[in-house]
Amino acid sequence: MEKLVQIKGVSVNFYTYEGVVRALNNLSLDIYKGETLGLVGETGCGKTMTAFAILRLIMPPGVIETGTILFTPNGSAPVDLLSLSEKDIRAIRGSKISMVFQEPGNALNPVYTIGDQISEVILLHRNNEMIVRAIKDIDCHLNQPADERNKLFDYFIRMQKYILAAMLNSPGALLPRIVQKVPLVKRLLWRINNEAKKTAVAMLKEVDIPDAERIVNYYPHQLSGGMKQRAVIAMALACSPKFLIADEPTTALDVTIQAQILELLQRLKDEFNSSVLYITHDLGVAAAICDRVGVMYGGSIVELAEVNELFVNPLHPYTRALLAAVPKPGEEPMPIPGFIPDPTNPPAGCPFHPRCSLAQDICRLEKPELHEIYPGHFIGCHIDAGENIDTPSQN
Amino acid sequence: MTPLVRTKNLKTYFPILQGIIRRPVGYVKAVDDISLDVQHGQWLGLVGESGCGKTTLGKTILRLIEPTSGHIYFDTPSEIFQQIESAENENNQETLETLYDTYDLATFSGGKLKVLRKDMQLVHQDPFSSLNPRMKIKDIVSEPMIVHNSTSGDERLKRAAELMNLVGLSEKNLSRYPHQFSGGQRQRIAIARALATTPKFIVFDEPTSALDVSVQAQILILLKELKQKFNLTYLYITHALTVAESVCDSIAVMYLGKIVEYGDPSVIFKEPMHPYTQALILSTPIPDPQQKRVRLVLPGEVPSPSNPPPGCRFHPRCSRATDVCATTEPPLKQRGQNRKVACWHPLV
Repeated sequence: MEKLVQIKGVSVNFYTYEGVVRALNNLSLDIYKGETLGLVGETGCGKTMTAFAILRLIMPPGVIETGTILFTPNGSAPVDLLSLSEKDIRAIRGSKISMVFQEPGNALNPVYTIGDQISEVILLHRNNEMIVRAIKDIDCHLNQPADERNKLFDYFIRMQKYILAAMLNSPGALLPRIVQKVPLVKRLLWRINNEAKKTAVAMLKEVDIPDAERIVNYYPHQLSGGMKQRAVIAMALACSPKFLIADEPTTALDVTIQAQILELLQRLKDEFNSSVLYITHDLGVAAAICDRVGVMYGGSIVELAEVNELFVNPLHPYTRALLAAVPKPGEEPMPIPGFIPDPTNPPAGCPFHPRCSLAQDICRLEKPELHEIYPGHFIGCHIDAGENIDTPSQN
Repeated sequence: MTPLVRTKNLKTYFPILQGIIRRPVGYVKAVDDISLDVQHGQWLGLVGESGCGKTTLGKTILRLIEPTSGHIYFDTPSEIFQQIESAENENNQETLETLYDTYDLATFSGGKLKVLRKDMQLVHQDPFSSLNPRMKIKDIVSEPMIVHNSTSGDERLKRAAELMNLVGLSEKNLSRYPHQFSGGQRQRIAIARALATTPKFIVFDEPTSALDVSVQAQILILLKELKQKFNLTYLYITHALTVAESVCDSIAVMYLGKIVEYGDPSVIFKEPMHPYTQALILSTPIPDPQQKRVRLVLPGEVPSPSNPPPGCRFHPRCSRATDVCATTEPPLKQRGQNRKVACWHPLV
């Protein structure tokens, strides 16, 4: 399988007054084409930071210290996302890699309509396509029989076509630049916005929003949580990205709505033939939709395997403890003793050793590397599979 | 057996006010005609989606929200229920009035309510906003004691330390502030505060929804221990079915202000009778990829409680709906032992 994204040794630090927070700690991860990779873990383990590092959205005081993130869309040469210029990464964000955020209510701007917000993405990344469509629209209009249309506006329409063609052929020339900047004159370009809106309606239909022609003019507050999340997904998929990052897209939603959104995401993933990085803290959701699952703890991946393998044969003590903590009928949930370590002062060695019942001396001294135990099954633990791991991590 | 808490035809409507004179143009029927018993020592789970009225019901029982109509009884002896029943049958308004005045929580106010408040407590959903950031933990935990048990400062401090140990925190934490604690620890403090007045009945309003699974498991085990130790009765409001299934003794499923199904978790989850319960169970993902469930995706969304559909409230989304569902509301009927369901076409 081809690798779409290769994350190699990425470390992210936040320089705060309380000390240096090590959000990502030498993280390495490969994402293959067409797969859904799940990232699970508890609050503060660095799941969202991984997504932000890929899109270079980490804000000061956060700094990406080391590492490379290679992105290889469709056979072209791999690009290192971390060494791109701000302009180049902006061309990738939203078009080739896009993201669905956790809170649909906060991801949408309350003062613009849904249609405006989806159009914004389309106009930013697919402007030329929209111009071509607008010109086609004009041609269509001009080709109508002469007595059926109003000749009075012919002059304006021809002028519009001329400007649009100029924008397409020589975007740097004086005329398109003036028309795009000067107020009032800018309105000559309404056909482009119209085309973008039509595309937005098509996208809303794609995400199963009923009555999309009406909803496109709605403001976010007029929609329910599930509808908002659908609109956000429509926005993320507006440029048919090769790589979609979904950061807990269903955490704020009810289970029945969650089931709808999960089905939608799976269908769209196949339709757009993209890879998905699905971040969640719900192991049930990860089991339902992911192909491979990575478990994160303390800023690095501790276990990574195929979904069946991971849930049937978990090897890392943390994964086992996490699975035991999920409430099941008739069984008492098993808590993990202790607390998540203080990120400014992580324990030496394996970050999980203070809570691990199998911890040995080496765990306190050395951080285990992620290594392959079975084909495709990686764990970052000193204690090898098979020997001690048969007992759960609780006594 | 007499229940500890009984609600009868309880309704909580919120008026929708409009116009200059703010006249009500409609009502949000958050809790609509609910009769529910919580037995002594029971851990009753109340599950449902957001907006179905779970929290409103919990808070109405505690009289933190005024009920529109209906009755709430707390720790009322069974003779009184018999008296009320016979008075209702005889339509003896005078006796009814006096009985309601003495026993019906919905009519109480002021000092009478305050006495009862000691016995019923609430733990809120979000431990990050339920603790006052400007108060030290000792003040937070001992505030209920100041209000309810006029003890001396020293005694309160001693009791606060005791409570902290009960919920698994060190008493050294008493002079700290809430921001110094993690979510799970804060929820423990909120539980300590609820226990301060030695209540009999505690309403938990999604106490673990803001917490991680490992911490959630810690809190659930703590709740279980406390329940056994102090012989408490819980009303546990949650939207996570797996949690309700693993810890509760009984479960009531709510949909749009109504209870649609009631029963033991082991039975309900094995053989749900109401189509909504079945949909809820099937849409809850379980961490076992081999057990591929037939995922039942419900069409549409929860309708607005201000204008619920006529007849059965679930019928627009239900695959089994027939004409009768669209016109007549199904009553909550007893079906088998300790099992109630409100559906014209139950699954079993």
